Amino acid sequence: MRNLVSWARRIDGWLFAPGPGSRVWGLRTGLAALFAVRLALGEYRGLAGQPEVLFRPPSVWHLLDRMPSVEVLVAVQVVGAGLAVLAVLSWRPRVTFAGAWLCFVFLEGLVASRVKISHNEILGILAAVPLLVAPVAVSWRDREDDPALGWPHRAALVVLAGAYFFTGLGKILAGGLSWVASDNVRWSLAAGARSTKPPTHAIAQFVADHGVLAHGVAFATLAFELGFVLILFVPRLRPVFAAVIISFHAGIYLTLGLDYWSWVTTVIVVLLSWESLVPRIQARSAKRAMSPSNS
Amino acid sequence: MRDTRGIKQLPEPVVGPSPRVRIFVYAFLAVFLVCGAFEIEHWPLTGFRLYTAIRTEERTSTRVIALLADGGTREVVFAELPFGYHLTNRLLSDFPDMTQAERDEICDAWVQPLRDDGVDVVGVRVDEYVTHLADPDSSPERVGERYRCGTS
Repeated sequence: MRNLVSWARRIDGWLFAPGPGSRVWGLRTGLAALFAVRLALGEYRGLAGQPEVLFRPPSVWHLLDRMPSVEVLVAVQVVGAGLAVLAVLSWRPRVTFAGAWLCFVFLEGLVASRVKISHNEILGILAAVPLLVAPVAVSWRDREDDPALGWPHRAALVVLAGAYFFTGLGKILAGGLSWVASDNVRWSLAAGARSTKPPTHAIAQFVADHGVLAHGVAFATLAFELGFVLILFVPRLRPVFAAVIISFHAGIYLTLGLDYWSWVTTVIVVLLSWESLVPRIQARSAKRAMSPSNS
Repeated sequence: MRDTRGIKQLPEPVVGPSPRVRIFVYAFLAVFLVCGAFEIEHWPLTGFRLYTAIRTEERTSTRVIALLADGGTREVVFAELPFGYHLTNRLLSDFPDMTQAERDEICDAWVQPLRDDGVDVVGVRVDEYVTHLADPDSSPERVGERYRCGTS
């Protein structure tokens, strides 16, 4: 019992340790920008007109008996994109960020209502949940640690670590070590090489033709996914994992044609303190504005 | 007047998140972790079952074929249909448990865009194909007809 209490205190101490407000600003602004782009470019209006018999909604989307009309879809998309842009500009961020998130979740829930649930946007959606109740009076200038501002970043780290860890764990639970030990990845890539989705067939076919390489890719994938929990305990590994994530998802896109750049963006926003670039960008634009050519 | 020089200043109270916020964060993370650990799907909460199936050299697939009134056929390519139709061919995995009337309704829905374009569709055939992935040059071989559905 004493051990349990001790562990609970350690977890609480880690999760709610002080952190800088700039990270909360960076998370909210980065994820709002992601929602803005996805909402602006999403094909949501194409969902309208889906026959009722094909509508297979998940969880609370069961409250709907069919896809909403094109007018409703476009209205939610436009309002959501507008709110996301306002959240990026930090205008009433509590309301605008929550509104953009709700619109995005609503529309993505409809995308997931086409028989197969969609994971493409899930990481950004889940990493944003803690921010819905996070303090909003923050700026990229707030570099001092504050006891009330460390937890949104750590909660988002738990979401990232959990997402990749469970993705790896699911592979082991489904097939044991045969996910790595069999020719599973080789055949996945061979199927990818025959698909019209990837931009090239050459890479997938090359790996599929070299069994040892395919086993190496399988092992590296599983080790990387299960090892992602290290980002919780070793902060200096976060940039390394962010770099690996970029090449990992780029590889998936080039071989299987799967679009997971929303996951990549979320990982970059959460793992890297990108907001530290803001002063440099501002200084550069101020310098440009004051240069003689602009006078 | 009393000498107060010996009295130490109390440390400022540490202001962390409110109890409500703590409860929200713990509840969310607990639900997120439980769904992940036990592979519970309650979108957007998920069990993260991504590419868990073990692939083999022999790959089975299906093709949905629209049967036309003039005796011809046309393959229904789901990726070319409106966005709401994409991926709905996965309903084929539920076909064994469906009644013929339920299959007919789904097959009719799949060819509705063709009918909207004025194509006279009298039914739908679902064919099964096998591909041997070890040979990069081999093409999918038709195994046979799995279902016939849809109404004219």
